[in-house]
Amino acid sequence: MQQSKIETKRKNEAEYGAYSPLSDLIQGCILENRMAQKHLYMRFYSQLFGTALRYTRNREEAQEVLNNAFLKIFGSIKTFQTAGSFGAWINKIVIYTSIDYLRKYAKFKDTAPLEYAANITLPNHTIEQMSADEIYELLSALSPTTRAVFSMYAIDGFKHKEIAKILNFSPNTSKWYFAKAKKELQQLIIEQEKN
Amino acid sequence: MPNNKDKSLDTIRKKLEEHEFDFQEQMWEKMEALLDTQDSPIGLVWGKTASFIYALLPALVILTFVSLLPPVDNIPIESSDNGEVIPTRRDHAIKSNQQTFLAVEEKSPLTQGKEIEKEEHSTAAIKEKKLRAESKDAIQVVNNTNPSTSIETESSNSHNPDDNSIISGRTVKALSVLGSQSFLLVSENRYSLPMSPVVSYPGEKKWTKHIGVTGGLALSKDNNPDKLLKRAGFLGLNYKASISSRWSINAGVLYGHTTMNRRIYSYYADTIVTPKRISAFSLEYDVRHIYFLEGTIALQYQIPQTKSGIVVGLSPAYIFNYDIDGHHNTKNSYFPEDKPENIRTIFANNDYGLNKTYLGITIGYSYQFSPSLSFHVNINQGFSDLSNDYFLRKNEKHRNTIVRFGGTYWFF
Repeated sequence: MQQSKIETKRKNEAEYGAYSPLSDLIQGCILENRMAQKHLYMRFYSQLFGTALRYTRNREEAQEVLNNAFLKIFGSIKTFQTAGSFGAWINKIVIYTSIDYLRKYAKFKDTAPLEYAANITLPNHTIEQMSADEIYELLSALSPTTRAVFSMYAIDGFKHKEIAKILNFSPNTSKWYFAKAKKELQQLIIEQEKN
Repeated sequence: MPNNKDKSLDTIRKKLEEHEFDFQEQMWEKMEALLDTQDSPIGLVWGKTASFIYALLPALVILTFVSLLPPVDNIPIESSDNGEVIPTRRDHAIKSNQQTFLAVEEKSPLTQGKEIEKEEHSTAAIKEKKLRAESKDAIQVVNNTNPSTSIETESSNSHNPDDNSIISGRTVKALSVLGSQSFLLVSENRYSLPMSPVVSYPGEKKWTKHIGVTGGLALSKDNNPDKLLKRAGFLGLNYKASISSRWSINAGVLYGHTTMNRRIYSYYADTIVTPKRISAFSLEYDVRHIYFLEGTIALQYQIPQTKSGIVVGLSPAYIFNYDIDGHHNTKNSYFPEDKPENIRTIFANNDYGLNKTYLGITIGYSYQFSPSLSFHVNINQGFSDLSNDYFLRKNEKHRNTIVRFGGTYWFF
C-alpha cells in the first residue's frame, strides 16, 4: 500500500514539475492531481498573495483569502476558457474572494459625498524611494472600503462603473472613495517624511 | 489596464507588481489540509446526514402538531330518519367511558330507577355525590358551544351497557370546539383534550400531549468578526408528548428578533466660505436587524420526585441579517446676496447581510412551577454548518451559541 503511494508520488512528480507548461498543470488540476495543484499554487503564489494582501489588513488574512481563492480556483478550473488569460482569471477570483472576505467586517456604503477633491497627487519622489513592503503597510492603514476601491481602480484596472457594480454603490461613491484614499495616502506619506 | 494618469500611482503599481513573495511550504500544507477536508468522504456523509435530519425536522414538527387534531371519525352525532342515533367510532370511545362511569353509578342506590327529582333530596343522592367526587373518572362538564350537537341527558332508567344510544344512563357528556369541529371530551380517553392544563407529573399520565406558548430572552454569540453578544427576544410554540411517566418528546419552533443600533456612524457638518457660501450637513446611521428561526426536537427526562427535567435534542437554526442604512444629507449653497438654495437628500439603503443555517445540539433544564407554567434554560450549540454557500460553509463555520431563558405556558 505504502509502496504504491510512493510510486504514485514519483509518477506525479515526473508528470508535473516546476517547469511543466501551464496548460499541463491546468489539465492536471482538472484531473484533481495533487502534484499539479501544488505546482500551480507555487507558480502563482507570489502574484496572488500580493493581490490578496492589497485588499486585506495583514498577512494572516491574506493567506486565508488566498487559500479560499485557490479552493474556488481548483473547484471551477474546468470552466476556465483557454482563450483567455489564466493569470487574469485567477487574479479576478482572488479579488472577488477578497471582497467577499471584506464584506464580513466592512460595509460598502453608498454614501452621497458632498465634496471631494479630485486632483490630489501623491509625492512621486517619496514613493519611488519606498519599498513594496512600505507601500503595503501604507495601504493596510486605509479603511477596508477605501483600500478596496483604491486597489481595484489604481492597480487592478477596474473602472469606477465596474467597482460600483461589484461593491453595490454608485460610481460617484467609488470616485469619492478613491479621492479619499489618495488624500489619506498623501497624509500618511507626509507623516512618514516628517519622521 | 490600470486607469492611472497620476505618475505616482503608476509607481505604486509597478513596485507592488514587481515585488516577489517567497513561497512558504507551510502555506501549501494548509491548502492541502483544506483540500483534504473538502474531499473527505466522512465530511460528505456527515453533511448529507445533517442535511437529511434538517429536512426531516420541520416535517416531524408538522406531523406532531397534526397528530393533535381529532380523528376524521369525530363527526358530530347525527340522527337517522327514524330518529335513531347513528353510532360512530367516537361513540364507542364514549361508550367505554360510560361503562367506567356506570360501574361507579351501580354502587349508588340511585341507579335503581328512581326519579331524579326525588334523588336530589334523598340521602342516597348525597352518597352518590360523594362517590362522584371521589371518582377520578368524573366526566367534566364544559360549556357547549355548539347547541346543535349538544346532548345533555335527562335521567333515564336504562343503564344497559350494550345500548348503543348516546342518550342513556345518567351520563353527562360535554362538547368542546376545536376550530369549527366539535368533539366530545372524555376523560381518560386518548382523544381527550381537556381545557384545563394537564402537564404530566412523574408517575401520572402516559401518552398525553401538550401545547404551550413560549417566550423569553436569548443571548447569541457567533463567530462574526464583531464577536458581539447579541440579545434577542423570542416567541414560539412548544409541543410535548409524554411517552411514559418519565420521558417525553418535545418539539418546538422559535422566532426571535433583535436590532443592533449603531446609530450615527458618520457625521459631517461644515461651512465653507468662498465667494459662494456652502454649508453642509451629513448624517448616516445604521440599524442591523437580526432574525432567527429555530426548531427543536428533543427528548425530555423528568427527574423522579422533582419538578425538574433535562432536555437533549437537535436544533436547526436560521439566522438572517438585514441592514438598513439611512443617509440624511443637506446642503445649503448660496452666494451671500442670494436666497439660500437648500438641497436635501434623505434615503435609506437596505442591505441583506450574511445568512446562516446550521444544525445545533440543544441541552436544557426545565422546571415545572405548576401544571401550566414551566421555566427553562437551553443552550443551543451549532455544530454543523448548513449554509447554502458551500464555500462559506467550509471556511466560516457558522456555529452560533445561543443561550435561551424562557417560560412556557401550557394551555393544553
